[in-house]
Amino acid sequence: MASYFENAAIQERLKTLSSLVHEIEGERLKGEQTLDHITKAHDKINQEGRLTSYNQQKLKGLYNTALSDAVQEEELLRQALTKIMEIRNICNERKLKARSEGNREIFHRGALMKMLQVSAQTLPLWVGKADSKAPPLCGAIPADPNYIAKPGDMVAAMVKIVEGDEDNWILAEVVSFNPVTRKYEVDDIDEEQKLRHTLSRRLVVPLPIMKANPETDPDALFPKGAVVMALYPQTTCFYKALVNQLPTSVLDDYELIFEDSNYADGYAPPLKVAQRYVIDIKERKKS
Amino acid sequence: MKTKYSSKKESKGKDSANYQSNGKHKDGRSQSSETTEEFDFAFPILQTVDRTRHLHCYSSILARSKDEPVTMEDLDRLQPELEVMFSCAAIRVRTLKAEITALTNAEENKAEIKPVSLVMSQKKRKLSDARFTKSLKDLSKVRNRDGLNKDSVSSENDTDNSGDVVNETPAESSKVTIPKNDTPNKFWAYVEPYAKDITKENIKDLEDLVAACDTDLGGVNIPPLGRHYSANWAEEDLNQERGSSDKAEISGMIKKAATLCERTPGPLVQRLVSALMEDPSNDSFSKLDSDSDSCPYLSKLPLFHTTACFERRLKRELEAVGFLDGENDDNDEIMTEIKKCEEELKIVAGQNKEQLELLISKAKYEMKRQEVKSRIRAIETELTEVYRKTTAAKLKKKQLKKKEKDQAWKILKKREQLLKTLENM
Repeated sequence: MASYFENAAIQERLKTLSSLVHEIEGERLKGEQTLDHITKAHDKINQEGRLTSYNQQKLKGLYNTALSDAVQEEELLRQALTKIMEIRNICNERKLKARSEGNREIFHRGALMKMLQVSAQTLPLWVGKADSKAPPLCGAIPADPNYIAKPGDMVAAMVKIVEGDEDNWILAEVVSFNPVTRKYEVDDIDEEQKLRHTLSRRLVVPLPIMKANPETDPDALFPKGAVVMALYPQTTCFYKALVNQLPTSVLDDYELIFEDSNYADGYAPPLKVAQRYVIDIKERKKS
Repeated sequence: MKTKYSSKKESKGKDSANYQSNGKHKDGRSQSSETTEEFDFAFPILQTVDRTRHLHCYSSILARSKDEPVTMEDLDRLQPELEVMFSCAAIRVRTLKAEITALTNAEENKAEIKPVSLVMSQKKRKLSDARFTKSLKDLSKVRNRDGLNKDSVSSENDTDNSGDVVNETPAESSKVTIPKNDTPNKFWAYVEPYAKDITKENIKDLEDLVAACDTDLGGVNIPPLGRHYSANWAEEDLNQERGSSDKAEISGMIKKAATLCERTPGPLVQRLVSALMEDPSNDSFSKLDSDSDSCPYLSKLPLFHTTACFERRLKRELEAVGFLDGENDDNDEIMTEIKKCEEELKIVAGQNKEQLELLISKAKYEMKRQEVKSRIRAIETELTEVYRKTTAAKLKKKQLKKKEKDQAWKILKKREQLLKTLENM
């Protein structure tokens, strides 16, 4: 029953999405036309070599039209992306419910890595209105100190490796948070470990829940040269790394240089890591 | 996943390529407050996403019917595409907003701000040339001002980013001029009156000086001998002590005092008495003082009011007899001193007068020369004017008119003549 309703909700949203896409296309074409006019006006002004007040007025009018087009388009795109996010949330909830019922999906390692990549890529994009600041957990912006990760959220968790007797930041999924003990229960994302950890809050760092847009919110990214903790590709562990290059677009990833003792100079060659898996972890005290 | 979408891909073909190249010139200067004439604009790139190249999933959904729902499989592909578009639209909104405000500002304050524009390459040279000449102008301006009004210079530099050299020059020059050397000015101000032309006023001053010498030569008019200073002083002292009381009373008191105190005989009396004494060794006056009875003559002196009266009376008598010369009566030592000084003054005044008269004659001579000199100067200016005309004519390869030639010769001859007269003077 429940799954039927959920499916219906998803279907409905998928339909809306389809119509939204069509609307967006309409806006886009309209906008392109205005932009064409603007280009022509620009060319004309450049040929004339000066900006007459008539042209200035004309240009201003065109700009205003283009602006309203863009605003409209932006709004529709925001709606469409919200729909997609909603669909994903429904799917996630379903997955969580299934898990709590004991039907845990088993991924083999390759599928797990793929899943991690996709989930990083499909992390919702945050684009604020002009002059608004990126919220917490968007890109490099850390979570609010009182923030409690929700069940199903991805976190970095500091756990003791049983064999090696050393600490390790692993990628984990929140199972629950006990407000009395103020401790998280997290699952190692790596199915093979099959370990559930109970950790205090300070050993759990929530991962970003939104991507920052490098083109509109470069402030919400780690600067070049920053020392971060990041998920080493093809692993489920976080290691210290240096930011070598920032992502240039919404689809781009960070380029990081990891500390890696396997290499002669102690550093791995630059590797791409998605925004979601790059976090700021304070250097823990070696006690 | 590794597909790299570049939202910076230009959809506008050639135009956008043009913009792209211009974009590199974007710097602070293009936004500086150049005049409207030097407006160089290229316009911001308004990004769009190329549908055929980057929006495959999006396009495929569009190809379907509007009512057909998007499939779950499409979702992962559609999301990035929408995100690219979203980002692009957001950037466009920001750019346009900035551009509109810039335009509005430009309207309000035309010279100040212009749209966020880029310098166009073909205009760049012209612009930099203009800037160069401008900075030169500024430099000369600054020199002329010589740091007099520093404020205006600096404010100009604030609005004008054209040359860093200009920024430095006023600062340095103003630093140098702070310890101002005034000595040459002082020197010339001091020397000027000595070197300038002689005027009629100078001659008049000299003549006045000669007249002063003449009065000196005429001698000093010595006033008659007044009251003795001691009498004057006594009167003044009493005046002070008593305040401003009656003058007659004071003089009366002084007289009284004199009768009481001045019992000593005057010089004439002494001379007379000593002449009449048989033995000068016997100081009659000491006897007179100690014992009046032993000196019968003096004790029986007639009852004159005072010794002064007696002195005066005695003098009159002696004059009448012819023993005393009445003319020499005021020939005291002060008088002789005055006479001596007067003689010296007369000698100096005579010398001064001689020199001044010489000076006057020389000044008068010089004035005549000055007159000639000024005439020569006037002619010389005329001459340079003529010379300029002739050289101009030569450059244009034009013959001078006869009248002009004659005039030139005339002026030359006149000058020669004047120079000669100056020599002969």
